[in-house]
Amino acid sequence: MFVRVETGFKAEFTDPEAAKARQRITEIHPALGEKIRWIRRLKVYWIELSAPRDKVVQTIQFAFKNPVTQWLFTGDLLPSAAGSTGTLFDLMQESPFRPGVFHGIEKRKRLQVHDEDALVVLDALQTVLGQRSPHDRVVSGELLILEGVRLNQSDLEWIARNWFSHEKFESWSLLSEDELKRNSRFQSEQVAKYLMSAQLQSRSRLLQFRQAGALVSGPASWAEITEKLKAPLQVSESRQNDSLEEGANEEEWSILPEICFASNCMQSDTQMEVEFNLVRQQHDALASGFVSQLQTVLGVLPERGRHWAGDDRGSHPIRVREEFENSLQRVAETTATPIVQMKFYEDSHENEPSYFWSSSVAVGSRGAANARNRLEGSLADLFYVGYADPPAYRNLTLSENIKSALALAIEGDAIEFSTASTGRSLLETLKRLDQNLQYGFDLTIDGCSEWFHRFFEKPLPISQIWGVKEDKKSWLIEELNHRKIPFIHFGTTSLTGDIRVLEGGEPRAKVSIKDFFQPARFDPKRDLLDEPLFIQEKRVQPAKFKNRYSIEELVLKPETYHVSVASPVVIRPSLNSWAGIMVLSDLCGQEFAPAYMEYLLRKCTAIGGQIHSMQISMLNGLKAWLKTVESFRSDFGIQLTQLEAKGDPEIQSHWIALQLISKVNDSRSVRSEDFKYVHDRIYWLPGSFDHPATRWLAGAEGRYQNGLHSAVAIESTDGKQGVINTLTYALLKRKLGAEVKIQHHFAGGFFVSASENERFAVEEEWRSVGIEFEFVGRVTSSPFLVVRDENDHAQTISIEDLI
Amino acid sequence: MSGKYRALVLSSPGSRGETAFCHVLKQVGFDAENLDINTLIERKLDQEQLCLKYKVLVLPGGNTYSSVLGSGKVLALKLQHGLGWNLARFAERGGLVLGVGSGFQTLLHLKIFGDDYAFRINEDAVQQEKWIKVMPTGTRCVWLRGLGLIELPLNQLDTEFVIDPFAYVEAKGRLERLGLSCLKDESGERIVGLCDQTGRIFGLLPHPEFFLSWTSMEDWFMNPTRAAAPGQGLAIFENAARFAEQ
Repeated sequence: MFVRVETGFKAEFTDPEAAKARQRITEIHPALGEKIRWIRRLKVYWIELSAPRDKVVQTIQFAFKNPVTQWLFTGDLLPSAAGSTGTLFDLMQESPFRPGVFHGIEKRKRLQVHDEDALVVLDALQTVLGQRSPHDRVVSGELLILEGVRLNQSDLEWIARNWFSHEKFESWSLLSEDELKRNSRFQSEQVAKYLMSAQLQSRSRLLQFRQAGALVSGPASWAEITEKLKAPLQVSESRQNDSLEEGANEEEWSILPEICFASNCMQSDTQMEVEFNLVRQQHDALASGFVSQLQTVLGVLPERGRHWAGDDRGSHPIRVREEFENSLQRVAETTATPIVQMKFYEDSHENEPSYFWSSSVAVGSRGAANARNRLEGSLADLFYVGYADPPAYRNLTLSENIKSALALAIEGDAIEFSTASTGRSLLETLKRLDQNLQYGFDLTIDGCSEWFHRFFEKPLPISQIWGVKEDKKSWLIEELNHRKIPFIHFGTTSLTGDIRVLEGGEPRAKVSIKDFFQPARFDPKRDLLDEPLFIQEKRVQPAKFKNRYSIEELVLKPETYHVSVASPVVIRPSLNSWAGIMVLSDLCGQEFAPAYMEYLLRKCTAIGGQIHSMQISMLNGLKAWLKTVESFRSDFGIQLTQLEAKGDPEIQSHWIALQLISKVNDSRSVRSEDFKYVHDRIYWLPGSFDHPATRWLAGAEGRYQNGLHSAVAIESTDGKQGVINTLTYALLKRKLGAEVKIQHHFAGGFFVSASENERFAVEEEWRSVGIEFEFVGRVTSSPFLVVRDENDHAQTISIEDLI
Repeated sequence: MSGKYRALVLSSPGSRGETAFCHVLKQVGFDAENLDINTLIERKLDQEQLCLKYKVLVLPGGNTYSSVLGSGKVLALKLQHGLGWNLARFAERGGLVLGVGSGFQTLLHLKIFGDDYAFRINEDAVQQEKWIKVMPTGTRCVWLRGLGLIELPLNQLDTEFVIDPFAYVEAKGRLERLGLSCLKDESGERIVGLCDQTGRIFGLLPHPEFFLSWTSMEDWFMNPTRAAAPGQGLAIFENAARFAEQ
């Protein structure tokens, strides 16, 4: 049962916490503090309990009721002792400035964040209930009620962003006076919305769904294949340890226990302060006794093919990370188990995009060591281990079987090299094996021609590619057959210096290894989503910088509080499409490369006058910062200036701020890609890069962007299936459904959603700005995506099955 | 008394002063034991075992459970629902209960003294350690027998005892009529301690466990000849020991 509980001091008592809040706001922003005439602060809890209603009611009463000094609001769950209406209106009535203009700012801890208050409350509730269920959950938060006729939305957002909910582990939203008076926020669905998040237990179904819907084109011509073999692989700047080498399977990471450690971006500065402080206690615990913990965890995982995923959700002292990695190394070396350390970061926010990226590195990799030590001239047979024709069901078992087979093969010294190929095309996977295939290889596609053509450029299902020693080939084939693991023997390495694709003994395509393994170049057109960066804050002295602000200049903007990864940049300055990203600071590492800046500048200038400044934070302090400044001046002729810091002058960080961020923050609700509310209307806004729709979404025009609840970009190349995939993703987070009509090809643009209440204002503004729009459907509560075509034929996709 | 009776000092996350309580209880002759609330829940120490094994139960002060749900509230829920203890029954069977600071607030949440009493933060006060002169009123409270005006340290200067405004007259009258308000400040206006009708459950805001020797006072050196004298807080525990012996 989902319950929301709000507690606050009765009207006849003063609220010391609210008084402190007002005092603090006035200290930080005196002009804003003057606008607040009355203030109250309530504790809010979102609760899920696995118990019948009457027990829950009783439990809530025992736990929260303090009839002498406090009022308890639970919607219609419990009769409220508050005044006449039993709602917050009774509290608001006690304001000396009746009728007044009231506003609410609500904040809550993000899901999956360590919430001590919530844990204590949960413990108390379960104690009263007399039972503990793993499904019970609590999220804590607060509700600030302010009264002031001069308060506007910007003021409220300022309070929320800069003081009330400035921590990364919190999210916030504004409530209108009307919403405060009503009890709709207490409804089960609303509470469930905050507590439920689609946990992707396995992405295999999702991957298969994508593959099943992927356009299966006919076999490409051999000339095309030859050209593609020669074309450079479009990859992001490769990090040293960026490839899966030991059979780790991408889908596994989300299932296994979490370990936190610093990301690659934080590797060089032990003193930097990063705002990700979500699991510091866990880090300290980890620092002492990693090895025993690792072995304990390994002990409970399957014996073969153990795989341990790391979860990158915070920062910690480098010593912790190093100790952890050393321990991983020791365990990997002393056990026969391939261990892969996977790092990922997921940032999920209310009304903002959720992003997810990962990198992985083999630890104590025998395979990698073997590959490095491989004698020149030895040959290996190429095996694809996985389904040639993937079934549309979860095949977690296959993944386990593959890993266990790999472990066996490694033990039997049959493996020269291996790599995971899940989610990558065959071409990409082979191009990444430059160390192992550097002398050439032949692909013999007799008997697997369909598989070859199908997955040459399309993502492979759950699978791995192995290089098997020639003398162990027969033994391995027997083992794979015995274990009923599907595989394809599709080629051999060679010493010819060429890459050949052979069919019927005849070479159909041939390129030299030099052309095949062209080094991955820094490609300015690459997708920024592949390049997550970190915004960090550095305490430096602002001595040399002036306070000036101009739309003509790139602006240094020191910020009092942390620079949230979540708060800034939601627009991707891509020449081809719009989407939401977080701009992070790989651009300003130890070795600052002006090429990076030029790339980003080019992207930003492509958006034209909407860009006023750019935001990049510094990793390494003043020295690198000064270098950056000089590069800006000398290379780009751009004057840098600094905005005056607000608040605590001791905390200053220097970064160039993307003013578009502030614009986008005004319309931040637009940027979140997931559909949020049932009955929302879904519109299609066609628009390419410089279309009015994109300018409107960016906040450059109009003012009703906040009326939207979500926006998700569609590429012109997506096609119908791509559209369906995108809509599916947008529904996954909250397990919602939708009914949409897709009656024509969507060339590129956005799907946006808006509530019924907002539709008129939003549609009117679109008309006035000249934005074409098309109503395509609605969000529904049942987790099915129903897509109707022009003939009203419906295709139904179950969202739950994909989770 | 030589350890004949056992005293239980109940720890919980955030509590403080357990060591001082154990020390003073041993000093006056109890066999004092400090156990965590969760340990007791795990061991399922029920009401009956509590009554049989212990003579004294102490709920120390501190910021238990970070004062989530209110100071002392979570501990009260754990005692009531996790352990199923009824402290009133414990007192009826001759047990003594002392709640200090947030322990006192726990007793309030357990409705030992009635429904209409609570604490609130007085935002005009400044949280600091201070000494307060307190005066027992009435003769009901076992812990305060024979004591006159005493001085005790007070850690929660900003905490005020509050009576439900909607039941003020009746609730205030009950306090006086039944002698529940047994400890007031020097002026006689501010209630800083309550006891139940048996006189054996006593809750107070000041911390007697931190005034066991005269040198605990900040200005003890003004009277150096008294350096060896016991603190006035000790007398409260000596009363408990005397009562146990009877």
